[in-house]
Formats: sequence, C-alpha cells, structure tokens
Amino acid sequence: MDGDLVIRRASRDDLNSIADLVLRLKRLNEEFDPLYTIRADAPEVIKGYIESSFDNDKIIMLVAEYSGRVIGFLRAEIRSRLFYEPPFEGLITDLYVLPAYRRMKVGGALIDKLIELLKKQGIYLVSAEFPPMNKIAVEFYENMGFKPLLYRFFKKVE
Amino acid sequence: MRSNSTDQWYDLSLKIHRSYGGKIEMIPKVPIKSLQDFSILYTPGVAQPSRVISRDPDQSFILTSRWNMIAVVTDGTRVLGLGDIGPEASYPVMEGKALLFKYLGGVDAIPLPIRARDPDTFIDIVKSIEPAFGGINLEDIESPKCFYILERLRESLEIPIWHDDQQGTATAILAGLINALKLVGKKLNEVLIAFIGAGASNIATANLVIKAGAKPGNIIMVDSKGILYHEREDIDSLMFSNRWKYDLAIKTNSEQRKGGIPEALKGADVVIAASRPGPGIIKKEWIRAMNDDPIVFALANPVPEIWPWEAKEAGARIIATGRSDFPNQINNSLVFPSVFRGVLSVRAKTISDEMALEAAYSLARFAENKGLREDYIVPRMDELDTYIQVAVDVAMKAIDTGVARVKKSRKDLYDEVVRLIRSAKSKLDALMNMGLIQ
Repeated sequence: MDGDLVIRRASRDDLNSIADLVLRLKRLNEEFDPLYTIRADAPEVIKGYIESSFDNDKIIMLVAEYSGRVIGFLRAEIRSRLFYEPPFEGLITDLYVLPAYRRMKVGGALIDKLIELLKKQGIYLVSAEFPPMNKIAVEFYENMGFKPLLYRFFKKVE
Repeated sequence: MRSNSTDQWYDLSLKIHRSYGGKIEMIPKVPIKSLQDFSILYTPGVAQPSRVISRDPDQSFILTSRWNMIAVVTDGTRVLGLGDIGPEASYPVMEGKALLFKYLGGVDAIPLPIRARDPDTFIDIVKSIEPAFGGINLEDIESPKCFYILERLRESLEIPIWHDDQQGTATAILAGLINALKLVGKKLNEVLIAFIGAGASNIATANLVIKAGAKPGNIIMVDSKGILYHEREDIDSLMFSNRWKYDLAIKTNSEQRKGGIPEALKGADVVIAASRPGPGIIKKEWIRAMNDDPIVFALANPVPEIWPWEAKEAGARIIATGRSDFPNQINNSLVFPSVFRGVLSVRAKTISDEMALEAAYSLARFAENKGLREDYIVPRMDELDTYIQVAVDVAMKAIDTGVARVKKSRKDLYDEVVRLIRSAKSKLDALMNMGLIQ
C-alpha cells in the first residue's frame, strides 16, 4: 500500500459509496444464518441508517479512500457501560473493505484512527460485533489484539 | 449425447472387468525356490530389516517396497463426469489409474477409495497411511474440498502428494498452451486468456499459467454465475465457500470485465474450457469474436464444449480437446506416470510448483523436438519416450531445488527410469506370452 490511502471522517458526499459497502457487509452475513436474511428494503434502510448516524455525536464514521475512491468503511457507537470500568466503549458495528483492497492493512488503519479519536474523548475501550461464524473477522480481531467478552444468543419463538 | 462407439466401450469394459475381476494384482518380485526362503523373506529373518528401520525410519525407503509404492486415494465424491458416486463405485477408476501408473511409469500404485467425506477426517487418514507409501496421488475429490485437502497434506506430509485432477491437468494444459502460443507467435505474458469453468482443473491451471508467466490481470475466469471480478455481488461469500476461487477473482480480470462466456471470449487470444459437456456451450460466433489466431482448448468430456470442426469453421487456429479420437488430446495421463516416476526415483519430499512447471516444459519440449504442427502440440500417449524424458527432468528439478533425498546423475537417473518403465512392460509381455495373462 502506498501513500494513496487516506483515512478520514465520512461526509455526506460519501453516502452512496458507504451504503454500497454496508449492503455488501450485510449480504455477507446472510451466508451465515437464516436470521441474517436481508430485508427487501435493506438498501433504503441502510441509507437512512447512515444518514441518521451523521446527526448523532455518539457515532463515529470513518472511510478509507484509495486514489480518491471510498474502498473501506467503519462505523462505531459510543456506549456507556453502567456497571463496569472503564465506563465507555467504542463499539464497531460495521467494518468493511472492498475485496481488492484487503490484506493491505486498511481495516487496521481504520481501527487505529478510531482508537485515536476515542482516546481524544477519554474512551479507552474498543469493541466489535459480528456473527460468530465469520471466522475471517474472528481472526482479524484476534490479530488486532481483541478478545471475546460477550455472548449474545438468539432463539426464534413462534 | 453418447455416440455408438462410446456405448461399445462401456459394454466391452463391463465385460472385461467382470471376466478378470478387476485389472491389477500383486505378485512377489523376489525369487522363491523353496519354503525355506520364507525364513529369510518372512520370520524370523525379516526381524532384522525391521530392527534397522526402527533405528532409522528412512531405511524403509531402502529395505521395503515403499520407495516405489504410492496410494491412489479418493473419497469418491467427484468421479469422472459421474459425480458423487461413492468410494466403492470409484474403485474401477482408481484401479485403472494404478494400472497406468505401473504400465507407463513403472510405479506400484494401490487403489484406495476411502469412506471419509469430511475433509479433516480424510486428511487424518491420509496422514496416518504415510508410513506405507512413497507418495500419494489424490483423485476425484470434489471442489473446493480438494484444494483444502491438498494444501493441508502438502504442508504436513514428508512424501510427495499430488492431486491429479488439479495439477496433472494443469500441467498438461500448460504444455499444450506453450506450444500453441509458439505456433501462433504470441507470448504467454501478453495474451488474454479466458477460462470457462472454475472447478478444480481450471483453478489449478490458472494458477500454474500465472506461475509460468501469464499476467493475472489478463486472465478472465467464468464460473456458472458468469465472469469473476472482484466486486461481483457474491464475492464475500466466495471468500468463505471457496477461498481459491475468491483469490483468483481478486487478482484476475484487471479490466473488471462483466458478463458471461461470450463477453469473456471477446478479444481473447486463448480459451481454456473445462466446464460441462457440450456441444453448444461455446458458440461459433463467440470464437469469431476472439483475437486473431484463436487457440481453443475445449476439454469437457465426453463431448467438448464445442466440436473441433465447428471451432475450426469459426476460425480457431489451434484446437485441443480431452479426447483421444481428435488431434491434440490434453490428457493428464501424459503427466502423472512420469511425475511420480521422477519423484520416487529421487525420493523427493514434495512435488513443488517448480517441478510441475518443469514437467510442463519438458512435455512441451518433447513435442517441439518432434516438430510442432497445429494438430500436434502435445505428445501422444503412445509416445512412450515422453514418460522417460519427463520423469528424468522432474527428478533433476527435485535435485536442483533441494527436495530430493537422493541425488543421482542425469545418466544414472535415465538408466534407472528406462529400466523401471521397460521392466513393467516386459514382465507383462512375458506373462502374456506364457499364457498366464490372456
């Protein structure tokens, strides 16, 4: 990877590019379990999801730009932890890099930037959520020094 | 479509298999003159070689048949074009392969269909039989499982492992491609190559062709969903379901071409099809839209993706198929007997990609020395000297690249290979002459 990679805060001009990346990410989850079946209106919902995130100061959205094109995206929510120390975490809800730009440490660069921004706000815990069957994500976060700290179980009730 | 002659082969084959009860048997290779010899060949004498081997397991390559013995292993999940017919049903194919190994390469091969559909179970079984063999030939295992199995076993075994449907086919195709390009005056690192089908053989071939110098970006691969490109909608799921196809989707097709077979062929110099039986999978007008002097490898069996005469009418300059009744038969039988003959003769630890490349170059050289023609780009199966040459070249490459446990001069290797390949044939001839095999 050369100097062409830029990590910056997302702007409203990036909306369409980001929406495409998020849709790809959600489609991937569809592979893992029927409970991740994509809703028909997902493309519009995703746009709304991104748009409303711009207005929320508890949400950080970053893009990775390569030669002027948005090729990676990270969205994180700042959440308070009522019972535990430290009292806040930055939860990565979405992280996606286009296939051709993988294995170039773009994901790592997005997380590094997020950590830098969180620290400025006095937040020293970063977390991520994704389907447990996503072994590639498991490996990625483990390599970045993350560890599993929470189970979330699901059961469909009739 | 089944021709009459193919039906005749089927009937005759069933009859032969029934009347001989299979095709191979095992016989001793040491003289036995009296029952006393058993005290030497078996207990108590045999304890001594066992003691020696227990001190140095490598001696098993010297004191037992292991040095020349391989297993032809399958789980029966993708047998010929018949599909997932199970291990028992794959036996005739494995046994036929063992016969070719012996007859063309002087290699002793044991057919070994195993009941192990789970790839990790399969891998464990193959690892556990390593002490009995000098090499493992994998056969007829479905894709993408076959990539995973080969990768893992290549890492963990100390004996050569080869998946013939991937590597054997890729090697034969590369040999043909090298000579076809020579005939039309084009260079491998400049041509645009369309691969139709993204199964075991085409994925392996694309990778080998890249190793040989083709530009990854100049390769267009088509699977059942169309041309592979790195932003295709299903690309992320491919990353999980078929990492090998995913890797090619990322590095090939630099122009991000989209569409199906016709779009892939547009302007292409070469098409290598290993998809599904034709005819009509590739249409004449698509060949017409290729670059000048098209090279068409239509390798589906039993019927190629396009009939050779149709391809010719559409302007194809060089045509190859998988069939012996057409010119330019691209067949892994040209490769596996000699590759194993070579690696066993130098007790190689592996069959590296460099050795597969060397096998392809050697095959290509053989045909070139005989005189290339548009209908002669690879040796024919009955040109027995090709097996000797390729075996020696592969063995020398193993020595040169440091994976051979035994070093021999080219001359010694040549003599040994000739002796082993010829002796298999002379023994059979002798038994036939004496009426013991008829």
